[in-house]
Amino acid sequence: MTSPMDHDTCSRLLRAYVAGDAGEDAPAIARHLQDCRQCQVERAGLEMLLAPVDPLTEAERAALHAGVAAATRPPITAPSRLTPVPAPGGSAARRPPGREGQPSGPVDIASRRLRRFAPALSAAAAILLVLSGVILFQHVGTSQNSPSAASAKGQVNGAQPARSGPGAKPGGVESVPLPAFRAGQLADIDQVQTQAASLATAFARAYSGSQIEQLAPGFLRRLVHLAPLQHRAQLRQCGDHFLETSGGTAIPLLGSRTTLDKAPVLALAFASSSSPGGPLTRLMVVAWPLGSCSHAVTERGVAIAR
Amino acid sequence: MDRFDREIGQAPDEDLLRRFVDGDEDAFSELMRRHEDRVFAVAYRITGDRSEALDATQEAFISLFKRAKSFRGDSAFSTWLYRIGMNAAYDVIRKRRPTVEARPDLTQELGSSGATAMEEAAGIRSDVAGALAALPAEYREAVVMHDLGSIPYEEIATLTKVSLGTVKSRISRGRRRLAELLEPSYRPETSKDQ
Repeated sequence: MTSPMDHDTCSRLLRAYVAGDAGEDAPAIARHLQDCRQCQVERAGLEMLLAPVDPLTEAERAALHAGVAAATRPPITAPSRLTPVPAPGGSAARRPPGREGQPSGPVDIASRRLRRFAPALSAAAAILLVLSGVILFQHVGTSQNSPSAASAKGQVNGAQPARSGPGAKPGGVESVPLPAFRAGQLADIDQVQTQAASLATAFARAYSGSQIEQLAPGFLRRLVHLAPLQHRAQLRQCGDHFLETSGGTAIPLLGSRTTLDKAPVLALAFASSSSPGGPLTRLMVVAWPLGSCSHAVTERGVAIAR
Repeated sequence: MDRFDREIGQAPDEDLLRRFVDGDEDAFSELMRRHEDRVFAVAYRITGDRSEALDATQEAFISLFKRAKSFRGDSAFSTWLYRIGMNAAYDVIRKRRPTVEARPDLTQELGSSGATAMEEAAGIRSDVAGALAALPAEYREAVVMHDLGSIPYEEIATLTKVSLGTVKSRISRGRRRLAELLEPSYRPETSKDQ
């Protein structure tokens, strides 16, 4: 039987066919495919190329919006008083279609301008905290006052409480503590613990236990992003595993390529609470041999100094 | 849904872009909401890594934000945006440590040694992104532009300064190479016709 569709036409329509959009051409393409080995192989390659990709997770989406906002907006600062900012005409009035079902809630440290720009983030106060954290991190990341830069100099700084309370400067500009990765500056696990202890105090003052579960995945992703390429996969795997087993009570704050008894290890420090929703009271420092997350070589727990 | 939501939700991409250029930031949010998953998917297929794809997607929307005024309407907005996303993904790849895509000798290897060399090349990252990276550059470019970026054949011909026939051929061969790299049963020696 002679195929009614020529080879070139089939090849040209193949993408639409694989995507299910070939319409009335579909039967002719199917007939041509039955007889044409070359187009069969072409279709196979196309199907592999266009295999479905898992959509963005909410944490990834939040990080994406935060990253774009950080790069395209004037510096965003956190107000010292965290009062909800009602949107004109109601909180859902300017929410794009498809986001109506998302929960609304009080908005704390993000500015209204940012909320308008990223409506999905304005929907949930917890996600906004991630957003604000990443924004501030990116904003201050190049400055000498950033947690990264300060920590590299041996002083964890710039970790003022984001919530109002002791230490909040009325009318002043505050920053929130954010996770940091140290690739090589910390000689051994003891130095990691020392630096993590300072950061843990800032975390405990800045974040309530109820925020931990929502913030932790985004913070881990930032750590992975900050880490050198060769450590990223292990950092992601070990961090995911630890967070999973912690049951929503831990949040990553520091990662480092360091040593334990002169052997190279990947260390991760977490602030944790004794129960879900409880305050951050404990610093955990865990280290794994490079390239493996199956057995931690050390796991230390100390109380967080307040 | 109020009138504002209906307006912005039903507006064509190009109208939203115009509104954004005129200062309406909600229009940008809506454009991002519409296209972020697709841009991410394109970037992920190119990079093969979710973290890198997320970085590329972020860079693509930052670029859109900054370059919105430069959209001339020569192609559909989505085509323009996906092209930005593809470029961002390749920028991310270029920042990696040297891998298969940075090896200038790879195309020659593939051309001279056939399936065995291709198999070795694809083994460096045994996934679609790895196979894409192992394609000869001109095939990869055409396949990515058309099959991932939805850029029409004619526009690819103009952009790459080759004939329409060459574009067709590169896309067809590129797809077949992908199948051959990813699935041994599609390799020429097992084919009845080739």
